[in-house]
Amino acid sequence: MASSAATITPEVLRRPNLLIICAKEAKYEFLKNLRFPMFSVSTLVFPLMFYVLFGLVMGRQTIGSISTTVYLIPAYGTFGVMGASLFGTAAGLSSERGLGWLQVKRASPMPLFAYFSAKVLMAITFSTIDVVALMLMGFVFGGVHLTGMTAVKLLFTLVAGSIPFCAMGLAIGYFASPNSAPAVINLFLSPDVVLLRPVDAVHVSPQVRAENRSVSAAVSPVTIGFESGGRRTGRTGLRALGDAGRVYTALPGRGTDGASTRSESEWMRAMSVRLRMDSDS
Amino acid sequence: MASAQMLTTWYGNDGRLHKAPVVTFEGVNKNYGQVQALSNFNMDVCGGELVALLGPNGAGKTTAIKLLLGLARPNSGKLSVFGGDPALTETHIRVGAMLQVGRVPETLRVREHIDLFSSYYPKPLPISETLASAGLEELRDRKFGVLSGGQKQRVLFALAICGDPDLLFLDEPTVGLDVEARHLLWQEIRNLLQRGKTVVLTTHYLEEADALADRIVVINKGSLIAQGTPAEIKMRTAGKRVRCVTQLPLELIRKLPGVSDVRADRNATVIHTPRAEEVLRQLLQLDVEISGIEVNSAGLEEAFLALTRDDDALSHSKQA
Repeated sequence: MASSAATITPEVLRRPNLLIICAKEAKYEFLKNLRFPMFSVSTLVFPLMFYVLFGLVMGRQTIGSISTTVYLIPAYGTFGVMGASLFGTAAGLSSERGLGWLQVKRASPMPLFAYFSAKVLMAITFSTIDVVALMLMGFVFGGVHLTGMTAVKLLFTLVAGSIPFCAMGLAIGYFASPNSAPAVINLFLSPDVVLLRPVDAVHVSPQVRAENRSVSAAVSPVTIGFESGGRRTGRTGLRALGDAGRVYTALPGRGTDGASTRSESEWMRAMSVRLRMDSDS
Repeated sequence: MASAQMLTTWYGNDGRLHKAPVVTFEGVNKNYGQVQALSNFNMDVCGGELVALLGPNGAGKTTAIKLLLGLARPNSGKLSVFGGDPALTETHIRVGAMLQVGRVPETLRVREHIDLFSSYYPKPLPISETLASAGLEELRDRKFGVLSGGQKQRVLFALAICGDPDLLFLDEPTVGLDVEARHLLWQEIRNLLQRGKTVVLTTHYLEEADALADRIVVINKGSLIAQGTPAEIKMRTAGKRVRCVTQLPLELIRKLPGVSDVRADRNATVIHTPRAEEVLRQLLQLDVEISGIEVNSAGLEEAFLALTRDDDALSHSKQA
């Protein structure tokens, strides 16, 4: 029996830098998913594959005055963003929560903000890669010409659109068990694709002001799911995401007059059509 | 209680020097719905000691660990770690934990897992040192998913120690380890104790508690039913166990002075007695052909079974 005096740690320890932890957490979250083919192949390869198949090989047609090679960039961009954001957050969170890994992390001094922000950053990174790869494919093989400004706006709107879907994914990850998460994601995803036009939620312009009701409808499950998720966990990360989600929801209502072109609204119609076709097939 | 006399000093989260137990439970109750996981639970853990929580499945061992890590909140009662709330980050940075986990991200490499967890702590061990302590140097670049069960346990141990914590919670640390790996881990735990660390571990392996613990706390149905050094616990079922091969009938042996219990065990006879030497002298006189004599201390296992059995009987009679 140890009966001698024991002295423990003669100094007050300070928390390490939050930014460094967040960066490391995000890096490993990205690597973890990149090395998981079920996720990386389906989010990075499938949108490109569909674009090549329907846009470049079978396409070369026009809808209205716009070539399908152009239409399908935002269409499959949206598809990639939604997949990366919903599956990247929900599937990971539900299995880590359900199978004890999140508990191990919570027992460590990891700031929860780092955990959640890493998942969102990972999804945004995958989304960006998706959209940039589609654009490059279009430029190089599809003869697509976009002005620099339009390309930047398209990239920004699509990638920013991943935030509410991440929020929705995190909410699903909190409710669903590891086995049911993919099914629940599809439960949310399919009606959104078919009925609520989530496309409008990720690509907003004044021309679709009339469709704003459907935009709000598309994003509202995010906010609703989010708030109940937040109540249950009370975590900073979720609250921060909730704010981000709400800010994004507010954007369509304010509109961005003069910031869009005719072709953008054409795209959106094309996206809606294409996405409906995707979900039907 | 031996531990109560132990002088322990430590610096609290407030930076002041304290002389008190590192961990205290005061009348803690925790229930999950109808199930009472811990009831009126009292326990102290002093700095530099290793306390083993022992108990059957569902006794409340893991619940106690979860409360100490701030992963669950008690329904009533007080508990503190380093004089503060176990859920605070200031407490967490001084604590390491090895929990039972269903699945760990499999596509990250061993070194990457340790790198990430080390970044959470203000003064982590160098990664090479953590790898060496857990015996993972050869496996540093392997992905977690391809490791064997025992190797996975070692990675979880590495994650618990990588922050060089003052207090370590190990929830069944040697489950799935082979004998050699288990002894290596024991050695590593002893090294931690030598460096002044405090360890609370739960285990099913009585031999593990016997080999490592300064103090054993036996829990059954959420209550502390006994505590003491391994020797003290074993004394609860005083005496020795004599095993031999003899033709003498059990009834005859039972009547010998000093014999408290006799039973047949395959081709041998097992005798429990507080006075082994006296019983042996009589046996040798009665049966010249007696063979295969072994004398052991009644083990922790007997003590543990007796303790939990008595407790179960008591609670049954209370209910009646």
